[in-house]
Amino acid sequence: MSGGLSIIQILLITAWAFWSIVDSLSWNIGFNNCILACLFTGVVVGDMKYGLIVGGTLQMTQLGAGTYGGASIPNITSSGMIATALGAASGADPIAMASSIGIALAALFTQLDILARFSNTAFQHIADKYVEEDNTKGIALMNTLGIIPWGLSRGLPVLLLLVAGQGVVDNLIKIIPAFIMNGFKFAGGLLPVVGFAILMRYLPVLKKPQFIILGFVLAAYINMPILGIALIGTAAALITYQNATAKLAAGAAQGGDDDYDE
Amino acid sequence: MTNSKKFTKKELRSLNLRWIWNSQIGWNYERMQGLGYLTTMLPVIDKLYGDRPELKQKALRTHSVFFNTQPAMGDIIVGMNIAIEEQTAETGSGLDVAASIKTALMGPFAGIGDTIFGMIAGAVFGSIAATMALEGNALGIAIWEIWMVAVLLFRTKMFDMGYEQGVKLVTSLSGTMNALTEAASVLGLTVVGGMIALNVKFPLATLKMSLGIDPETGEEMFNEFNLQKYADSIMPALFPALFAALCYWMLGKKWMNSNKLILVVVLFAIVLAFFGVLA
Repeated sequence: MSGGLSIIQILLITAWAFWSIVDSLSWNIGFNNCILACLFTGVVVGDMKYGLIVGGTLQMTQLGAGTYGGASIPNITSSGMIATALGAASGADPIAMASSIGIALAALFTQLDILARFSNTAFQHIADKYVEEDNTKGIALMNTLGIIPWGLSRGLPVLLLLVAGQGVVDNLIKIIPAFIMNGFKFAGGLLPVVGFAILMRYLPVLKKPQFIILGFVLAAYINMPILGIALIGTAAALITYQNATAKLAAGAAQGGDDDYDE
Repeated sequence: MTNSKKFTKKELRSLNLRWIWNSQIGWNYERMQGLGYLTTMLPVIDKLYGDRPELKQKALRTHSVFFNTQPAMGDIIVGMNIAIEEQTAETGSGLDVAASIKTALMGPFAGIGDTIFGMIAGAVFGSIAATMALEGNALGIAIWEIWMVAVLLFRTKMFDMGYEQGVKLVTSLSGTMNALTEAASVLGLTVVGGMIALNVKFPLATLKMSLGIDPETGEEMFNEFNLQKYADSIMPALFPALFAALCYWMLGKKWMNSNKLILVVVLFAIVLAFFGVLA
């Protein structure tokens, strides 16, 4: 192994991980974005492309997934940063690294998300007491303290694994048979299907199958790049929007007439 | 006297930013965004009811209840709430109205916001960024970054809309919002259709079958089955489409969830790789 990561590298990546969740809960300008976080990690460890590939592979498993209604989802941001930092140093294939260690850690970290959400209940109870005492400064402080469990739920595992994980990863790569690592590489190519399947569950697939067929044909038969397909999708969306609002206006006028008749 | 209880533009903007920052950092299972909502409203409570301890206490309790919505849609609700309480600060009667508006709107607004800001935006920008990232290109993530900053800026507009239009916004907005959600899902469907063909990699191998030794040359003869070619002659991206349909169907079953599905796909890939079906 290549001497591992320097203290400064570890601290930079850990700080990003700590802040990633706090940012996604507030301004949401990208720190919790898996690809961006992996890209940053890649730059820190000196292999930007490695970060992009790990981030892209993991992002594909969670397109459009979110913590809707307070649900916990696999944390591909933290796990991707770890997979990038340790994988780049060990020389493992980035796609196999993402779909093995990246996926496994992401699932494991779900528990830490739950723990953070649970820990903040303690601050809530103190805040409740402050409500009775009219202590507004105390209430605001309790809300702000929530940053600590949130940040630690991301920062701590990243710190620990970056400090202690390199040897484990290097050994794992040596021990795991080639056909399994090969399988993980194929898994990286297949896993995007999970992201799409989750998304399709939220979309009116059976009500409007024409658009999924449209996108599929453009890609499969005409080999149109995804940006072009997104633009055609935007055109279709605009038509849908105009039709829907026109119907709305007509419906309103119709409704007005009915009222008048009565 | 009433004038002193009007919020200035500067105060309103700072309340807007206060919501964006506080809404979820204290998120917990008991009240979810409730503590963040209360924290956001503290300056409002101080200004409107600071001189009347009983009303202040009532306001603090009113705003410490459970609350949860999509944060950007929450801007509209907070804006509305401030307008309502400001108009009725004299009697404090707006508190009850605000409480019921919050409760009535958080669910539907979360549904709209999660669809537009979460699923559709995440799918469209996420798929573009991920596709490009896999080619080692950071342009896609830059496009996504621009979108995220644009959403943050747009949130000030949403807050103003809520404050200026107040309650009447709810009726005028619901039709437009539904149209917007429908349009966004059309975009989402088109992109997903394309992404299935472009990004689910199901590369089939060429199988070799021995036909025995050629008696004349003494060399082993093979019959080759190029599985990918057969599949392509039916339809390009046939297996990605079938596999996506299968996973979609499985996710609709009670015994399946997205975490299990990831595991199933990884195991499936290892098995196929072991038997040499994938190339």
